[in-house]
Amino acid sequence: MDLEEKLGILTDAAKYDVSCASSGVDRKGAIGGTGNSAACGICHSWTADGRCVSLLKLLYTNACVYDCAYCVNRRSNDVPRASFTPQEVAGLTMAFYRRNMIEGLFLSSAVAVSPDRTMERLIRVAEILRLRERFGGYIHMKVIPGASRGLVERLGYLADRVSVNIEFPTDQELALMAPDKTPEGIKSNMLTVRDRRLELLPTLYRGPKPPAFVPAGQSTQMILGAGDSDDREVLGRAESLYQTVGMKRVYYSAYVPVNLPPEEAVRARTPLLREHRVYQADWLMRFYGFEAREILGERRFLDQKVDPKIAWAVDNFHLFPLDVNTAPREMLLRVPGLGPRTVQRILAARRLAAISYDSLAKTGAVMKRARHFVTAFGRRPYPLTDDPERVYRALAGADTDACRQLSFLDAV
Amino acid sequence: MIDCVFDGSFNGLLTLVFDTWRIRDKVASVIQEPDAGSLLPQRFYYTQDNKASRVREYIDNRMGEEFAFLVKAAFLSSRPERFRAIVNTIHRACEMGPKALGLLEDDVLCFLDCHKEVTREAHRFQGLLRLREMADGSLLAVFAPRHHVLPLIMPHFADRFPGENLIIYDEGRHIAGLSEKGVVNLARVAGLQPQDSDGERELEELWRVFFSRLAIKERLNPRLQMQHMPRYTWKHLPEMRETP
Repeated sequence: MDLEEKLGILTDAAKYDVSCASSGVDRKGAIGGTGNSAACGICHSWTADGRCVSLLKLLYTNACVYDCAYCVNRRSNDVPRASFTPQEVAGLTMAFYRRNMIEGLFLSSAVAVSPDRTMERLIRVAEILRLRERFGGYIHMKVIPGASRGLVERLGYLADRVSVNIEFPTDQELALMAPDKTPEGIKSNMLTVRDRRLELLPTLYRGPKPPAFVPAGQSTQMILGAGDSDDREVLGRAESLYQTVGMKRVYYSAYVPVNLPPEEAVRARTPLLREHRVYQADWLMRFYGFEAREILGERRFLDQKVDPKIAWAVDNFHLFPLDVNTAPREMLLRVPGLGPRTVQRILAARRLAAISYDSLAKTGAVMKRARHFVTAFGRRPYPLTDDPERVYRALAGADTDACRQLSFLDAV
Repeated sequence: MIDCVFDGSFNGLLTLVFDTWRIRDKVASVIQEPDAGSLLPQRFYYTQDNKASRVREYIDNRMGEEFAFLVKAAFLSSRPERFRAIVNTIHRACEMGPKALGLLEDDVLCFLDCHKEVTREAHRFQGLLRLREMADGSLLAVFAPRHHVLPLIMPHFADRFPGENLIIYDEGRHIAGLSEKGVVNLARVAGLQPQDSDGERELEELWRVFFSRLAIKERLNPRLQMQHMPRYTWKHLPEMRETP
């Protein structure tokens, strides 16, 4: 099998993994080496589905011994199989990197023979890149669930980010869908990474700097819509991962029914809108100071008509309207239509002079949403309703067009 | 109110900042070519390096590094109003310090927008720039940015490929950035006759295979793709070019 064919098969097999971030590490280029890394992350291209291409995302092999119900590469599927050699992966990475097509490598793998045997192959690739090629770009490696502690630690010194996919929000669902993986194995891998990272965290003390261990932190991924868990379980699990394991990112992936016969797959549509809302809620937890249970209120699923911030603001309408000239930062962040940047601008501007209602739009606030929730010195230019029900309807109406469920047909 | 005309250079602009300080309320526009359609009196400002360096020092010492960078980045913008926005913002900052950037005035907002557009495009091309290996082993990239982002991205690429000779050519402005083993220079170039090395075609083909296989057809969303990767960048991207 030639390289082009292998690349095709193993890209196809890797594409359902969402993560492609190259952020979190700042590393200068070294004389005699190739590559650096920017903390902000750099995207190099965008595929036809609008997802960014930052890393060379590949499976090392797709010949899997597991038989997970949701996975396209499971043992019982009849798909073309292929495997790279460590040299091939490293060679492709260097060639693409040198042409500025990628920021680095994101290597995952099906479980070949056993988790440990697979991990050894991945580590070999990382070693060739880091030690022989002196590659300074970004390396994201998957930890194969259930791999032994020693191997995870070896990988951690070579990679910038590692991830082990938790796949489902509840342990029962994981047992049902992925009978060969155990929740304990996944969690212990996560904790290994966390503990080592904490141990090696650079301190202010003098002396040699400790070696970098997974400097960009770890991430994970959950599948939405493959089982029947609700958003409460999804966000609850995500929140606990952020808090207990120090997860950098949790990715969510609307399930593409790869293992259903075509007739059924048409009905089981990929829940893209649900994925979108869950991501919005995730952002609220990470950057806006929300807790999962606040966002959901009494619901099991997020409101699909409006974004979760509007849903929360309508539920808590008694807290509004807020005066932009006096409200504290934490509360401004909770106003629909104001983001962290806008809030920062409001704070800087009101230190110099009072903000009038008319100049509010200049701070970057999206007035279409914010106008229902803010005043400037008690002023609003025209009477707005004080009925949360009507606010909800106004915003849901304005929102439907921008966020309707996308269909395969109208995209073409 | 007057129209201020200058030669378009950075030092020229700083000279203008110096010379218009006393009439800073009367600057209606700052332009490079005299505007025959304007009814306002036009005054020419000639570049004087000593005045420019006084302003530069003032900015470096009093406003801080960040503000100095904002000025440079805004200057690289291709918006016609950029000169006026820069002049007025520096004047405001001389009055009240760098916190003037928090003002919600049109010129300050325009100044910040210029900076934002330029740095955003520079960041975008850090990713979208494609290098090709030439027959002599050096690397070449050709691109056509809207703003003059070349000076901002050169250090990034020089740091990334410290051992290589690389050329980044801005097609629209006919300016090339050169990095020879990490040392950066900019030069005006009339044209290039690049000669690709042998393996280049096959490698591009591999990249196209990778790129096309990565898209999930259940999620197709060309509008989102276009939003991130606007059409004016496609010409220089092997993955977006039509197959010959």
